[in-house]
Amino acid sequence: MACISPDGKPTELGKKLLGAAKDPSTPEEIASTLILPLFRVRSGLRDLMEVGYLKEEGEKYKITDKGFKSLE
Amino acid sequence: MGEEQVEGIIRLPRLGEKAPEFEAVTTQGKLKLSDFRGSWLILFSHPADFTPVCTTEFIGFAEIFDELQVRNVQLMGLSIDSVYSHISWVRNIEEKFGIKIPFPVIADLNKEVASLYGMIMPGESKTETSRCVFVIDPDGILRAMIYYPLTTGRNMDEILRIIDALQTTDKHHVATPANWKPGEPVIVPPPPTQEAAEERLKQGFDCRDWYFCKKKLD
Repeated sequence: MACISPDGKPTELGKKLLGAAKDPSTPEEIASTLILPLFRVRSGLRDLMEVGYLKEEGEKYKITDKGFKSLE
Repeated sequence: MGEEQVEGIIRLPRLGEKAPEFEAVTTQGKLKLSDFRGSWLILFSHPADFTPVCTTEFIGFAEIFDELQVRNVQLMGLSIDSVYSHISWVRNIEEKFGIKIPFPVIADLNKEVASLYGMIMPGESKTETSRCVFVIDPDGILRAMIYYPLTTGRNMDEILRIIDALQTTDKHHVATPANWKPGEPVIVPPPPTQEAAEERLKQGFDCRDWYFCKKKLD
């Protein structure tokens, strides 16, 4: 997983994506904010969802409490 | 049994059809083909890491990377090697040639994607992928395929030219003649009726005959 380290913590890319999802955002909005290719954002968001750091709200992604804790 | 397989025979992708979806381990994490929707994608295979022709090709692809980005095109490589081999090779290319490889490379150890796309040519090698190029448009439709043998490195100018030609076709509803390059006249599609053929000759195109008309794009 490009966004999750073997110890379960977010990588630098994961932290950036979680930071960008503090306000619910679409993958397109996050890609534009972070100046990242959309395919990397989509794949990273999927990684972060799998471990429960993000949740989907319609077309937007929002950081979860668990995601917030992972940033501490 | 999926649509791609009929009685054990894999149905290979064809031009104008949806490119088969996959999820694969890459040097930039696990990626799905659908992650690229909205962008053009050049999916290409190479025979093996740490081989000379492939190294020149990776350098070539890295050198046209910025030009592809301007055209909304992403790149993704593939070979039947492990992700650790890929990581080691792209690091070696950076160390020995000073070229950073900016695109993901699929580690297709189980040959899943290679088989799905027909990248293995058993007449050449049963264990390596040939030099295949698949151009996939933003809607996921397979728009062009090129196959090169193991011994012949690809031409990056031709890859850029194909992208330019396809994007010009989509934007202006025209065709492009042999050896066409951006800025040169394009082919106006042949008229479908006799009436349209007569009209065509009055429209100010550069026509040799009713079926062979070119025009300059603005």
